Amino acid sequence: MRISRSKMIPVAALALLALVGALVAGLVLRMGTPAVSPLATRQLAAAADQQPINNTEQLLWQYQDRVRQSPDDVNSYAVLGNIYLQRARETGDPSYYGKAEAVFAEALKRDPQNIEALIGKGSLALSRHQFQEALALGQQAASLNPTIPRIYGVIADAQTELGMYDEAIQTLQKMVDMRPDLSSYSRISYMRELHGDIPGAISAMQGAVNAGGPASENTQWVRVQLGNLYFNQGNLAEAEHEYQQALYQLPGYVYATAGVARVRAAQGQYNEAVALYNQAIAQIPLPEFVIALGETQEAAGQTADAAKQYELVQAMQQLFKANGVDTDLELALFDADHGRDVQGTLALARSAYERRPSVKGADTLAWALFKAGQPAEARRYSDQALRLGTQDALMLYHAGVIAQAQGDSAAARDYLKRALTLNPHFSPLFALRAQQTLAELGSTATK
Amino acid sequence: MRRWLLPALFAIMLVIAHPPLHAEAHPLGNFTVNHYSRIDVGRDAVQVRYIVDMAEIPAFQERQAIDTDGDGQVNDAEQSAYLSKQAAVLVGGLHLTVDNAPVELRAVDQSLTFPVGQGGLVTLRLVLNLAAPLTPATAPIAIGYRDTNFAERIGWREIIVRPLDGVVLGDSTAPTQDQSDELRSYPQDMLSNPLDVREARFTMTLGAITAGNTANASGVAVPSRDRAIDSFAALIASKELTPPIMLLSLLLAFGLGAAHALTPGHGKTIVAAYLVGSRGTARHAIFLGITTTVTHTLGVFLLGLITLFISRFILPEQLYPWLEFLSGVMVLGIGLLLFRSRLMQLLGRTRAHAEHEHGHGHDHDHDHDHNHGHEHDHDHAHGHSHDHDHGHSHMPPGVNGQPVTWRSLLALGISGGLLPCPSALVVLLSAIALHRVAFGMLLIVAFSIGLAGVLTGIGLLLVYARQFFERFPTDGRLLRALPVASAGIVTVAGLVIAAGALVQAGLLRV
Repeated sequence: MRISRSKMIPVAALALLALVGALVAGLVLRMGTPAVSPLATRQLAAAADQQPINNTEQLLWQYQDRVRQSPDDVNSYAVLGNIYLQRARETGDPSYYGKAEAVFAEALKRDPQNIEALIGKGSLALSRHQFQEALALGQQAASLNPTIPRIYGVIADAQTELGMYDEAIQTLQKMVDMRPDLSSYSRISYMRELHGDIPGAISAMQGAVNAGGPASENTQWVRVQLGNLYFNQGNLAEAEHEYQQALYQLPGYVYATAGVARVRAAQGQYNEAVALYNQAIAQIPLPEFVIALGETQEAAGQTADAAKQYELVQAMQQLFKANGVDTDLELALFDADHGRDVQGTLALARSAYERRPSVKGADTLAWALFKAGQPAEARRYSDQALRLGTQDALMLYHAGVIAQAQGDSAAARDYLKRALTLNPHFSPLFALRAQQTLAELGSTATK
Repeated sequence: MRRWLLPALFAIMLVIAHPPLHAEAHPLGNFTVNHYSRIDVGRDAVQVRYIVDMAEIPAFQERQAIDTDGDGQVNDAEQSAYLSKQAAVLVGGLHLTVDNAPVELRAVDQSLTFPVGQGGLVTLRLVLNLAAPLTPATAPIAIGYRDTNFAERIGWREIIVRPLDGVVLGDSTAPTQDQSDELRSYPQDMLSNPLDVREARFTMTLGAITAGNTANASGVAVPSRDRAIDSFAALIASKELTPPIMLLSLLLAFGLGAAHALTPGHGKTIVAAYLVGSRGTARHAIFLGITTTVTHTLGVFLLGLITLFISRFILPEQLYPWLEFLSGVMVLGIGLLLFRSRLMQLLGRTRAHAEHEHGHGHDHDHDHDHNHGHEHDHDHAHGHSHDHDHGHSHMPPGVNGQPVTWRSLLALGISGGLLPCPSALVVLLSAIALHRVAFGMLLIVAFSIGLAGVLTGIGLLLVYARQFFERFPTDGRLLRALPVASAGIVTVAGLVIAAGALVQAGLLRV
């Protein structure tokens, strides 16, 4: 075939351009068109009388079968482990963690350098709050293959929780340069939030929501985080909008239900808040939901009911202890607020901070120290907690109360004012106390 | 296709994209509520043994509710008050139907215990024995059972159905053996999933009474979930690549490609419209097929590369609609151009632009010289341009559409292969993820060949059908309009693609 040269270049250029464009178009188009292959028809028929199946669940069967059929296929173990982790997130059922651990072990037994299994094991360690181990696994994976963005997600999460913020920022930069997606955007958002850049955090989290993820649960998770950012700014309307959106996309999503409950409590609609928290707890009784329910009931004057929730949280802690699980920062904070054993709580907060010297860890330790009557040391740690400039009303409230205990009224007023300006509804219990303390400080100052 | 494709894509994405850390996710166990139903079907009654096993945390919550006087202890009076109230609630959540009519289950006896659990806490175990009468009949009775208690709560849900003596069960969806020993031990295998069976259906007929026989196997049913979700994409993950497996995979890929070509769309309309509108020959059809194969293969490779590359800079989800729009506009443009020139032809005004088409005329005479092409074969021999040729064709106007040019054939072949099937893309991406790139590429080639084979076949069919059609002494009015109509189809296809893209981008509402 001969074509004159002058015609060839535009033709070739057009062909190439068309190729690029229509290729992608084809992909999208095909995904949108219910084209049915004979094979798929049979599968559809087989699945027809089933209830709507969640994608993750379907994958789970698929990969379980694959592992059963070829027990030496390292990659199938690794993928299955990651599916278990996703399933644990979706259902809140921690028994998947044990299964994930077992399949990762099988994969690494066959190939100690399998990247997917190492990354998965790192994620698992993060879920179990074993941050040092997660960091080590992430670094091992990165040394084997530095081109996979997910590895940096594991490393950055571990570094953040371990208080290594400068390192975490570098890691995140590397990650987002490789791939700007839900995973990297949501982490950037958290990093910005910690550094007090709430508008930046919101825009990054919005980016994460827009990017979406393969699993709807992930997208709705970041949407709830976006709602939380709005909430922390005191923007209840936007916060509720995001929570409701998440509920619309994923009906019954507990984190979104709890978000709406939080908004209701902030609006003073305690009965509705309590009902929603109860609904969330009926699905997955996470301690954070139970604590929030108790505090809402206490704010509503239902102290007997609140006491029941606090008892329940203590029962949960008993269980953690029995299972050898490190008590979480949030539970240490709960102890400081509602527990009776002040010294025990302090010891707990200290050991938690040792393992996890993050700003949240410092805030918890500061609060435990304050409750134990050591305001001077408490002040040191509350300064630590605010060293990044985090705009968190509860942390500012803690700093204000600690400053007051130290006799530093000016700082106390400043912190409390900032907390209340940031979000006048930050907690059903403590927002009110912040106002009272501020009023006291105001009156003493005028005297 | 979408149903299996999305999971496959999802698996790849799971490996590529990673969800964020749920900062407060706990390794918290101990909050399941587990249920168990054992249905024993006798000749004149259905007995249900219903067990609820609450782990430590729900048990703790439940005890708070049981402890009505708030002294922190559960005394006998509180316990029995709770049990009778709770039994009624639980029975209300169980639905038994006999021949589709609801039947009331009555409690025969009930018990509540608090077995010791972890951390000094207790668990809760509630056992109900229920019964409903049956009217013996000779015809098979259809029985259904559904457990709606604690529907939202995570937990093990198990139902077994056993025939008692003198009863034969058929079509049972439930097994006769339990796995959890009445919720006393749960399988811990890493490949097992928590059972989640919420209903059972079966039929019963009366059988011979054999003394001493409790459960026979007639009710055994295979668990109904079909887990064989195989796909083209699954080929890539075949465990070991022995030659037979490879050959089989390639054959399968070929077959899938062929099957895929038969699905709607896929440029077939465009190809068909073109071949019918123009004076296509068998060679054209074959050439088209080859072009399609090559384009499709290259297309998938290129798209894979682009996907991997572009996703570093731009969110792919935001990019797709725009690229789709772009390609839609391009198809639209091609369609409009075709439409215009063919319309002009139809109106006999082709001479107008015959003059400036001269540069590229002397190509491959070898193909246009077929039986039916009696008006323009000589042109090629003389090396004139095609457009020019039929400009002064001496045939009745319109019997010939725009004659086939190799250039436009190539363009068409490309557009036919341009719309790659995403499952091919999935294969490539999984091949990359699983470090089996070469094998993945091979599979895609096989897939493309299958695809193109069918397209070629359709093309040939059309060519011969048209030749057959032409033998009839019609005045060709229909044939005359065909090229224009086919150009119209191409145009509409472009419009649809572009509009679809805008809808996806959220700029257009349907």
